[in-house]
Amino acid sequence: MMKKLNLLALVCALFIMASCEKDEELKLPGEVKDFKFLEAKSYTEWTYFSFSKGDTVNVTDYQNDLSWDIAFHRGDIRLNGGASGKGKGEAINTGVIVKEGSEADDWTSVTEAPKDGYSKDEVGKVTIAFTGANIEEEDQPFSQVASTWITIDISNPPPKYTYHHSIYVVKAADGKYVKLWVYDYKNEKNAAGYVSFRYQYNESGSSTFN
Amino acid sequence: MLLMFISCFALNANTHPIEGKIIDCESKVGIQYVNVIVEGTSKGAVSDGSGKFIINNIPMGNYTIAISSIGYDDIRVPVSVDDERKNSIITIPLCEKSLELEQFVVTGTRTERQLKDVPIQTQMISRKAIERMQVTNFKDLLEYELPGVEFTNNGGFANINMMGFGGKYVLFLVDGERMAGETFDNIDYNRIDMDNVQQVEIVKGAASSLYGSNAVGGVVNLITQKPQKSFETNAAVRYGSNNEQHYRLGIGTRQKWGYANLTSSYKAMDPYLLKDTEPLTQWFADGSKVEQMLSQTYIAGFTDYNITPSVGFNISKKFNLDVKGGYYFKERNSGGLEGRKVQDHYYNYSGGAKATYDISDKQSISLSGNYDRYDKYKYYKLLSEDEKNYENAQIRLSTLYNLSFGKNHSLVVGAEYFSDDLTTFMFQSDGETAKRTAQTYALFTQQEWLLSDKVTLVSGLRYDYHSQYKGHLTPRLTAMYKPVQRVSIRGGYSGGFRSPTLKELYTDWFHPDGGGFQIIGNKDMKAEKSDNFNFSTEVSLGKTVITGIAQYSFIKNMVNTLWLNQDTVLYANIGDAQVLSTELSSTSQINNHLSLKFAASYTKDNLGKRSIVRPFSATARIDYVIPVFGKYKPTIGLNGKYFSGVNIYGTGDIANISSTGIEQEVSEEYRVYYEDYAIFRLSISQILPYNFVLNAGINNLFNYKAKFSSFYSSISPGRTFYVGLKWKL
Repeated sequence: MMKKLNLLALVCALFIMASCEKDEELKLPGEVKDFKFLEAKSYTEWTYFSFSKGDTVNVTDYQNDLSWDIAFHRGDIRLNGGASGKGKGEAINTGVIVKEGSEADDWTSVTEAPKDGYSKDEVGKVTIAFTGANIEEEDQPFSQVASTWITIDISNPPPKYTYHHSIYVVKAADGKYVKLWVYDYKNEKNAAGYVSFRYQYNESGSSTFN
Repeated sequence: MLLMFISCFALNANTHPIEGKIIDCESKVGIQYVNVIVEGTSKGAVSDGSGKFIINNIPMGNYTIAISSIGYDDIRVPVSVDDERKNSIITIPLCEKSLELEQFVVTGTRTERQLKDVPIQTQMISRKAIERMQVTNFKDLLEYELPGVEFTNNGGFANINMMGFGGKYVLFLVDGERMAGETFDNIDYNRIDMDNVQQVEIVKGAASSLYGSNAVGGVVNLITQKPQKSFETNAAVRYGSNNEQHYRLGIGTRQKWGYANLTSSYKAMDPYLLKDTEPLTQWFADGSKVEQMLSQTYIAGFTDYNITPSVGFNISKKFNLDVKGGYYFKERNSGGLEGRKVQDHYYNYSGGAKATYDISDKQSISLSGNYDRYDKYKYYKLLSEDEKNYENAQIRLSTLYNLSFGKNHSLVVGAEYFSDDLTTFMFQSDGETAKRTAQTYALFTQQEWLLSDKVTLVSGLRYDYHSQYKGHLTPRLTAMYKPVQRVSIRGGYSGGFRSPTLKELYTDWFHPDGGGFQIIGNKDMKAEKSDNFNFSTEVSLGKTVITGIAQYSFIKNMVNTLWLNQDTVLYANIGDAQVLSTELSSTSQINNHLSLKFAASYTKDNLGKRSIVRPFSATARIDYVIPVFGKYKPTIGLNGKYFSGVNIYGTGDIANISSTGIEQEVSEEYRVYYEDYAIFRLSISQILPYNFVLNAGINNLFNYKAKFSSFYSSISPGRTFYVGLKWKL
């Protein structure tokens, strides 16, 4: 009797484990993609982007729209969550920095999305006009974490753009994990206001990136 | 066997030693440690304590022996090795040139004059100095050889300041001809192939009426090398830190009919990154400070090559014709990701001809024409397309008549036509390129009067007619007084006249950086007029020469930029300016293996908070020939340059975008202190067999790095190394 029960328990346990494994296999990490030269040069308009579509999307009422995941405005980044939207968007800086010469290794070294420590978008100062030395600011929501990818120093012309090359993990509007590295602010002709980034959107919901 | 024996014997019988003695041409005393090399062979010797040398086993034939010793003029002597002369000892006198004062210069008067006798104060950097500096870059030569010269980094481009004057006041010439194409009023210094430069001559303060009256800061004339032998060739390779590469090949011939020369060179260096270690700090009048974030600055790399053919014909004893051309290409890589996407491409095409006719031994006339064009393109690598955004074409035609009458009077009369066509995207606010032109016609004369053994007077007049600014006459007067043999005192006055540049007149450009601002030229500006005074004293104390130079310029209606509104920069006459500069230098040839040079300069202007000059700077150099390795003695050189610190003032809104948006600072005056610094270079040159010379060195020996990078900080990457090999036949 004892033996039978034990056997049953073992079979049961095996079944559960197998089903668990099967479940994990379904949650594959997403494809790594690059999006280059996204136009974000407007001071007044944000450019919205969907990780699942892999392209920009038109958004009229960003705070009530779930079709976008991330948005760009000059060097600023907005995520669909917190003060910026109804989605589950939030961000964390993994602390991993992509260094020149070891880009591929540094990128793959972030294998797992952190469990907690994410920050949601809050309202802060955003530049809405910049002519000559005149700067106009407005209170708008944006991601205080993801916007640290760049420092723009305009104390002496020409402006100095410093990229910090941090790898962030952000959550899309649907709450799925995205590994993100924003690495360029200029287009093919080196005109400023065009953003290039590498991302891995785990459509499966997996928190693992490799 | 017999045949072999005979041939052996014959070989032996056909070799003789070359024996000789090197003596000082004045004291007749033998000179020790002089290098004697039989050209085209690996054979050579070094003179002993009494100046004697012997080179054994030289097969019969005709040779040239090259004799060199620091402090003496290098000479080459033909020697025949045959049975008749087998026991003769040749005596070779060497003259101490030490003092570069004995060397010839041409810039001030357009006739060959010894430096010590030229009435217009002239500074010279000799071929030997250029070789000892081991520089492949003209910029480095000027900066490390002349105390008052500093190059700053203007938005990634080299910007000269020479004794208080910027690029638009300095006229750079190659064999008397101008160079087209400027960036922030600076020529493309990479265009100069240093291995092709015989010497650099500098005439300060618009002192010569033979050149444009705008060159108040100075005329810098590069004299190129011409072949001296029936066949000569040279090659050089060099490799250094930051992937610095330099390759050169030259070939030339001098014949009865004239000469032909072809030089080519390739230079390259990778961009490098400067990382701030301390923040740039803005100090405000109330004592508060704003520290900028640490940043990183790429210093651009480049790849360039040039080909320069030249040919000269002695059509008759009296008639010479020189023709030369040139092609140059440079790719500039601003570094990092941006440099991988967009590069600057520069092209230069030049050609010219000069005819000289000696009417008699007292009169000559020359006619020259020169064309120089410089184009700039943006090359978008990812798109594989390029975009032309600049073309500057300059044509200069000139004629010069020289006459000397009596023993004591000579005269130069000349006329010049100069046309400057500039096409740039900066001339039209819609970003399309537009062309603007200016023509200058000039008539000039310069007379030299030898009033007595001790006094020489040079008077000059120049009339410039500018297509926009019409006519203007500038006078000059310089006197040289030699109270005693070893002392020369020079002093003079020159009038200066500078019509604004095409960019100062016609710029209409929206500068896209930051929020963008409009830069506008101004056609209503007055031309700058200046009064320039210079004074110098030169004392020759045997092996040491001490020179003091002072120059004072008063510039009326100086042109500069003004912030008109918050979003517009306008060129305008900002008022009168005064610049005073002084320089003291001492050159010593202690003996034939040790030389020392020291120079210091002090510059002061009345621009107050607009001034951007480091007031004090100094250079020092020591060269030592180490008496080891017999005939293959190495030369070791150490030189250094010191710049004093400077406060640079800025005004206007200081804004700083941080991650949380923009924090705007108050509109107030602030200063940024750029610290003083010194950079030393160590170089070694080793003569090797078969006409090879090995060069190696360490730049920035003590690894100085600016704490932060901005317009007026050093752009040195820190300590770097190089090694090179030169060969010459």
